[in-house]
Amino acid sequence: MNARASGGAERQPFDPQRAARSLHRLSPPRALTRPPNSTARSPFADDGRTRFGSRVLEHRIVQRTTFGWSLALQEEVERVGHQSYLDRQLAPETVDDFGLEALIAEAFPTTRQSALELAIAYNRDPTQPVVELVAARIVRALYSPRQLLERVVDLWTDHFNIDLADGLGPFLKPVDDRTVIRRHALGRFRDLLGASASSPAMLAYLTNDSNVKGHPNENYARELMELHTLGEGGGYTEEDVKEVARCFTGWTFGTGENGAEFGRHTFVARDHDNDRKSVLGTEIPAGGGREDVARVLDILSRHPSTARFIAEKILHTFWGEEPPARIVKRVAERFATSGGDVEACLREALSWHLLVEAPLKLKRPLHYLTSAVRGTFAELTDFNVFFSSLDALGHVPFFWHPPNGYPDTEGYWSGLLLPRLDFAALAFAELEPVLTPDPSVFAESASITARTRWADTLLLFGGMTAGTRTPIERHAAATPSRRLAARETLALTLASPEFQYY
Amino acid sequence: MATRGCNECREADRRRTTDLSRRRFLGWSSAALASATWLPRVARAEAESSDRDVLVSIFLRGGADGLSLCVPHGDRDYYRHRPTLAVPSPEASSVHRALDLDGFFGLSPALTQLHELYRDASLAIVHACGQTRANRSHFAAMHLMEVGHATPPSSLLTGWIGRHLQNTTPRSPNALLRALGMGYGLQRSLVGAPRSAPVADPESFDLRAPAGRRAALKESLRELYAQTSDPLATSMGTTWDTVELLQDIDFSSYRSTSGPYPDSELGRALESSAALIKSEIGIEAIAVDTGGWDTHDEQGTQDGVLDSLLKDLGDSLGVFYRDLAKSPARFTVVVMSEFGRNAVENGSLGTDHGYGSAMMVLGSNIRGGRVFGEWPGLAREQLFDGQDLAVTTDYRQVLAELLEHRFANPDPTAVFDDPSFVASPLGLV
Repeated sequence: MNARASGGAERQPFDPQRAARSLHRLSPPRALTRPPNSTARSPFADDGRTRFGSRVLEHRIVQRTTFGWSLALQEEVERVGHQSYLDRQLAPETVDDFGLEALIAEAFPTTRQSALELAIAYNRDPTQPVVELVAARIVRALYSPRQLLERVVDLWTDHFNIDLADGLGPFLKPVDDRTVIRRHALGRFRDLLGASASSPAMLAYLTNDSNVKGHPNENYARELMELHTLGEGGGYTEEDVKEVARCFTGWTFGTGENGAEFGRHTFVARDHDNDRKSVLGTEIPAGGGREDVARVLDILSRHPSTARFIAEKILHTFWGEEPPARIVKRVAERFATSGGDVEACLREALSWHLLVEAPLKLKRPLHYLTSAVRGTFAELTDFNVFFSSLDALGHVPFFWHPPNGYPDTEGYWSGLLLPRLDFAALAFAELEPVLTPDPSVFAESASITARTRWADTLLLFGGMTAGTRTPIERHAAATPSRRLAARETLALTLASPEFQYY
Repeated sequence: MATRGCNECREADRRRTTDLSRRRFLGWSSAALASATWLPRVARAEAESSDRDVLVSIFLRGGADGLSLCVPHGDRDYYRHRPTLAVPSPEASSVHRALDLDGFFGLSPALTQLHELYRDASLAIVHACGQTRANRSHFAAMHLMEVGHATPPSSLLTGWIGRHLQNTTPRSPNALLRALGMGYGLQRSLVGAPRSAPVADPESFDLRAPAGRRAALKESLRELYAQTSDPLATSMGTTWDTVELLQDIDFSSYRSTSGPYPDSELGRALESSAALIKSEIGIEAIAVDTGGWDTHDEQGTQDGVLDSLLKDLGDSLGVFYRDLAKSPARFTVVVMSEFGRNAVENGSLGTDHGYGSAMMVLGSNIRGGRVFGEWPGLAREQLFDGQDLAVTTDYRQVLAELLEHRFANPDPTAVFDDPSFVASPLGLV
C-alpha cells in the first residue's frame, strides 16, 4: 500500500466537468458507432417467443469480451464465426480501428508524452494529464473495435493498480499505461511483470524509491508477491518479503537529482544491498547487482502459485466469481506450459464449453455505463452526466487508491445501484438527453408491446423477464406522449435488473 | 420480497402520522426543536428503546501507527527505536511534546481535543491491541478484522456488525435503515446487516430524473426491482427506503452544537452521522472509513502527514463527541486499524507494517480516562518478531464487551463464531 496520498493535500480530485470537456474534443469515427442495418433481425418469432438457437453462444462471447454487447456486434460475430472473431480479437493489431488511436493521440496529447515532458508542462496543475488519461480510457472502452484488448487492459490495470491522482501519478501513470499495461497486455506475463517492476509509476506508488541498503522499505516487495504474483497464502514467508525487498534496494527512477532523467527507471548501485539473499528457497548469490531483480522476477513468475493466482484472476474476470478448481487448474496448466503466455490462457478461459456454463456477472459501473451507450448506438451528448455517474458510482478509472485494484465482485458493487438508475433515468430525457440514439433505434410509432420487444432485442437480446416487461409496459401505457414513452421504455430497460448483468 | 413495496409504503405512511403526533410529546426542549430546522419533517422510528447505544465504527485504513497516536513516553526503548520519529515526552521542551495521560502514556500533540475527552473520562484507549495472529497484509488483516475472525482463511463472509445486527432485534421495531456505511461500497464489517446500505453522500441520495418525471419513473423502477427474485432486489428495497428516509433530513442546514466540523472527508462524514443519529430514525450502526495511514516514508509524526491525519481524526471526533453529547442521543464510538507499525523506524523516515496498535473507545457511557491493556514493553526481546509491539489484548475483547454492555447483544461471543474465543471483559463499561 502506498503512503504518498496520505494527507490528501497532494491528491488530485476528479474533475468530471473538465474530463467531459476533454471528451468533447473527440468524436468517434462513424464506422464504430453505426447501428445494425435492419431492425428485422429480431430474435422473436411472430408469436413473441424468442428463437435463439446457437446465437446464444455468440451473445455470451460478445458479452464477456467487450465493454458492452450490441446487436451490430452480435451480427458481425454470427457472420464471421465466433472462433475467427476471437482469433482476431486476440491479435488486436489485425483489427482495423478506423483511425481511433490516431484521434486519441490528437485529442489527448498528454497520453503520448514522457514523464519529464508532463512534469515540466503540468507541474503546477496536473489536472490535464489526469483527465486526458481517464477520457482516453473511456473512449477506448466505448468505441475501440479491439474490445477484448480493452477488457484485458482493464484486468491488468487493476492487477497492477496505480493511483493516477496520487503524488507523481499524473506524470508517471500515463507512461505506465502506454508502455507497461497496454504494450504487454496480451503478451508474456514475465514481460508484463518485468515492465511493471521497472515502471517508475509503480516504484513511486509503492515507494520503492526509498528502499535502500541498510534501510529496506518492503512496501513494493510485499505487494509484488501478495498481489502481483504468488497471491496471499502463495507460500512465501515474512522472511521472503524482507529478502525480496533487499533484492530491490537501489531499484528506483530518476528524480532529476540522482543523475537520471526524471521519471526514467534507474538502478543506483551504491544503494543496493549486494550481499547474498535467499528467496523462496533459492539462493541469490552476492554481487548480483541489478541482476537480483531479474532473478526474483524469474523465480516468482515460474512459481506454481503464480500460475494458479493469474489463472484465477483471468477466470474471475472472464468466466465469473469463484471458478471451480478444475477450470482454474486447466488455465494454470496452460500458463505453466506456455511459459506464462497471457493469450494462451485467455484462449483457454474463453473456450466456448467453459463460457456456456459460466455464471452471470454483475457489470462494474464503467461497464454498465459503456454498455448503455454501445447497446443503444447512441451519441454521448452529455459527458458531464456520464462522468458524474461514474464518479458517484466510485469507479473513475485509475482512481482506486489501495494497490489491490477495483474489486470485481457482486458483493462490492451491488449495494450502490441508485446512480445506475440515475443515469438510466437521465439517459433519454426529452430535454438535454445524455444519450442521443440513432433515430432508427427509437421505435416511436409501434405499439407498446412491439416497442418493449424492440428494447428487449436491442439491449437484452430477448432476455427480458416478465417481471421487467410488465412494469415497463404499464409505465408506457401511463405515459402521456408516445415519444416520451419510447424514450422511457429504453431508459427503464437500461435500469432493469437484467441489464446490470452480463 | 414480491409484495413488500405497497404494503410497506402504506405501513410507512401510517407510521408517519402517528410519529408526527408522538414527536410533539418528546421530551426535547421546545427551543432545541425550534432551532433544529434540519430535523426530519417526520421521524419514522417508533420510540427508541433506551437499552443500547448507536455504534459508530471508525476504521483507520492502512495500518495506523499506534505508537504515535498513544505514545509510551515512559518506555525508554521507544526513543531508542525511533530516533527521528518519536514524539517527545511531556516533560520535553519541544512544542511537539506528548500530552500526558497517566505518567507513562501520552497522546500525540495533534489530539488536543481527545486529551480533553480523556480527562473527562469519555475516552478510553486499549493499547498493544490487535489480532491474535499477526498478518502484515493490509487486505487480509482488514478482512479478518472486519469479519471478526482470528485466523485465515476465514469462511465467514459477513461482518461482525452485520452478524451482531442479525442476532439482535431492531432498536426501533420499524426502522427502515438499521446500518449505514459511509462510502460507495458497503464496509465488510457491515456485510450481512439487515437493512443496511452504503451511502457516499447522505445529502444527495435520491433518483436524479427530469423534473416532472421523477415520481413516475421512481414508481416503475420500484416495481422493476420488487417483482424480481434477483439478488439486487434486497439492495434496491433498502435503497428506496433510505432515499425516503434521508430526504426527510435536511443535512445542508444541519448545524453542529459544538462548533464547526473539520472540512475533511472524515469531518463531513461525522457531521452527517451526527445528523442521522439525532434525527432518531432508528439507525443502530454507522461505519466510517478514513484512509492514508500507511506511512512507509516521510511519516511526519510531528509536522507532516501523520500529524495532519491525527489532527483531523482528533478534531473530527472531538466536535462529533461534544455535538452529540449535548443531545439525548446515546452512542459509543470505536476506532480501530488493521495493524500497527514497526516499533523500529525504517530508513525512509517512515515505518513499515507492524502488529500491535491502539484502539480507542469514546462515549459518555464508558469508563474512560484510562489506558487499558497490559504493556508488553519495547525492549528487543519483548518485541514481536524482534520488531513490533506485541499484542496483549485481542481486539475482539473490546468489541465483545461493548456489544454486550453498550449494544444490548445478549451473546456477544456468538458474533465471532470462534469456539476458542472466551470473553474476558477489560472493564471498559
